[in-house]
Amino acid sequence: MKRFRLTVIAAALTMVLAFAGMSLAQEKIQIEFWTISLAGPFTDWIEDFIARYEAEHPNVEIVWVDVPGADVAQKYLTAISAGMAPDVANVYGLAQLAELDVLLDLNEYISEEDKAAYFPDMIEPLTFNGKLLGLPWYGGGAAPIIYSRAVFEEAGLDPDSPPRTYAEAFEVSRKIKDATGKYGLMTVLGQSHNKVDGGQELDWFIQYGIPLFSEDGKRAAFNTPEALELLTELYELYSEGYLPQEALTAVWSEAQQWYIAGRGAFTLTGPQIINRATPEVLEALDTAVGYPIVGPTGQALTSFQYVVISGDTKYPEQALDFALYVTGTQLQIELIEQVAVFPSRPDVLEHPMFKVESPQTLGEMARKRQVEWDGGFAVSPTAIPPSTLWPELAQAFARETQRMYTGQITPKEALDNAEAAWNRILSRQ
Amino acid sequence: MAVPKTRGKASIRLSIRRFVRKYDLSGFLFVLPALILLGMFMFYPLIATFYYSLTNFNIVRAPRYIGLENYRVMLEDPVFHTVLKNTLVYTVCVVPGCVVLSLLLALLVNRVLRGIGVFRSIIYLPVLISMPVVGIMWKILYSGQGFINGFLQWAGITKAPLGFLSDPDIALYSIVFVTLWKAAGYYMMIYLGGLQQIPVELDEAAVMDGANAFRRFWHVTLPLLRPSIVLVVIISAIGSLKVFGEVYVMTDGGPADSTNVMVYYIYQQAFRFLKMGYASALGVVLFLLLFVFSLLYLKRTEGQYVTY
Repeated sequence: MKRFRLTVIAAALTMVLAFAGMSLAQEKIQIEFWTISLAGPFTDWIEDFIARYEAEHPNVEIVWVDVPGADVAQKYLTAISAGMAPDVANVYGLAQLAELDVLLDLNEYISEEDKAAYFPDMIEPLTFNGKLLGLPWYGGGAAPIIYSRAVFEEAGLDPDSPPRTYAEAFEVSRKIKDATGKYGLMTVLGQSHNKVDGGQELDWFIQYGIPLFSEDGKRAAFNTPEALELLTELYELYSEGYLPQEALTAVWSEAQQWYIAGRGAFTLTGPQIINRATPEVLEALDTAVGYPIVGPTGQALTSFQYVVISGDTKYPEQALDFALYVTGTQLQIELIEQVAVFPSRPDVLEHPMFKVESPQTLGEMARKRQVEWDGGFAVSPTAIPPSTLWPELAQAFARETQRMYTGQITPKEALDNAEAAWNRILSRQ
Repeated sequence: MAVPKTRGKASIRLSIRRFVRKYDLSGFLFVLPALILLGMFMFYPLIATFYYSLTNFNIVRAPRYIGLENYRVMLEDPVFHTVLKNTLVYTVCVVPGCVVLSLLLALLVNRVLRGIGVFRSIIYLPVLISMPVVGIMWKILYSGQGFINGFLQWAGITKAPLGFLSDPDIALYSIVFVTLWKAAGYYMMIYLGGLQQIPVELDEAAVMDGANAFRRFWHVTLPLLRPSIVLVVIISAIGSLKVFGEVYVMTDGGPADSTNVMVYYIYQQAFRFLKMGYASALGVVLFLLLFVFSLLYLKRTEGQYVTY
């Protein structure tokens, strides 16, 4: 009898414990986290920091998904429409997500202190109609110029003073081509929205201080004499053969490949790209690193990655906590120790790796230039679009500039047509 | 009228049993899995596309019915007109190109020679290379300092490099060439299959009658190859109307929409601008185009097959 009673008690205890376990398991909060093309070289690191987070937060389980490719915006939208959006995600195409109103307004949850830890220049472009829709993660920083001292010397130019402004860059490009037959500036032109890496004239407009939109955001405002002057200059450079023909159909990364292939004298790029190139090749070109090339505003163009939180998330506080952890100082330092990206938080710049006095490699030199940069940032509208209708606007603008470069219309007509197209698209708002 | 309930049930059961016995329904059961899959992944999306083409739909919000508005917009859309023209020009260039070029290649390798297998394999090789690789390779070949421009300038044919992909007047034809280069081997295999089915006796009989090589080809080989030709025309035409990869990798539809084609435009509208309704309407137009084309061609070639 005694044994029977013991058995009953043991069974009851087991059941209680089992139920407790089950309810604990049920209470565990699951946060799905998307990254873009980081699996592979960063898998160990990501799994490690997730494990550390879970150890500190036993009730949270992070489900990590790495999404390959540039179509992440579409994948994210598909996930949203299926009601399966990840809680925290690194995405592209913020403008469309803002228009569709599917993201969490972080202003409702984030403390002022947490928000102030990021560069204000990076928080601002992530704010749409007063709603903060993402947290800046890591970026390219201001892309410095890399140039071939050998080509500069060959063209009879001072290899110690590479161009600092676009006006100088255009002038130098002409001199180099005339003297050496090589191109000067390696860049792409007339890029449509589909290739989002850069090379849009609209990026130049921002650096030239040319406004894209009217104050109320309802009309195009870029049809100015300055814009016409810039477009005319670009058109002349292209049509007179001072820029490669393929600039029209190439993607941004190809401009850097052209430099490495010895086709041109200089291009703009970040330390992460420099580190990827074979050092011998860069040495053969006698490569040096200068400061970013700027327009009249003096600001350097930049773009960066960000994470967003789904408006459908069941656990906004926990998702934000994890997003703050991922984009936090500690993890940014760990990431930057692995790859030469630029942080989104000023305190990361205090780390010794940003304090190298005498850089040994070109990558270190580029990083030093980035840290020294005090001219401010202009965030590329191509990377972080300023309007919810951006894809269509950018495509319409690219169409007209492409027609201009191929001689079908004049720069003035290109501006007029693009302005009309923008006003038509914006009137639908 | 008052039929006892039990009897009613029994009679229903009986008639079902009779029906099953009469029409042996087990066949339906066998095709059911395939039917379900086809229904889910073919018929449902097809019907849904027709429906979405009548709506304003951006994936996330529920579609809103707007009648034929998308089709009206299409009529007034200048880019759509360019895209339609480009698609047709591309098709008109690719189809005869495939038919003739592949046939020539097939005739060339349809002989018993030592190492002919190697030649066939070399011609077939581009078919096996994936489109992105082909696209990037040709982008390099076509570039201002690429092999082709280098050769043309070396041979004194051109003075300045040609903008194969950046000149809107020739960009589309540059893509046509890449398509032909990549696809010729595939259609060559279809022709080879056809050629090898033609009995040797017919050719020998024609030789006996004193027909020369051209006449033998024209009167014996070509008529007997008709099924293969029809197949090549249909496959290459459908493939051309649906071209996407070449454009996506090589030109992005540019410069200035000179290489923008139907499927690429649908992709842009759907996944870049999230205009699912408009993209669906474009999809319906493409579907009708393909449908009418296939129908016309099948009708024209019906019963025209030659046998000897």
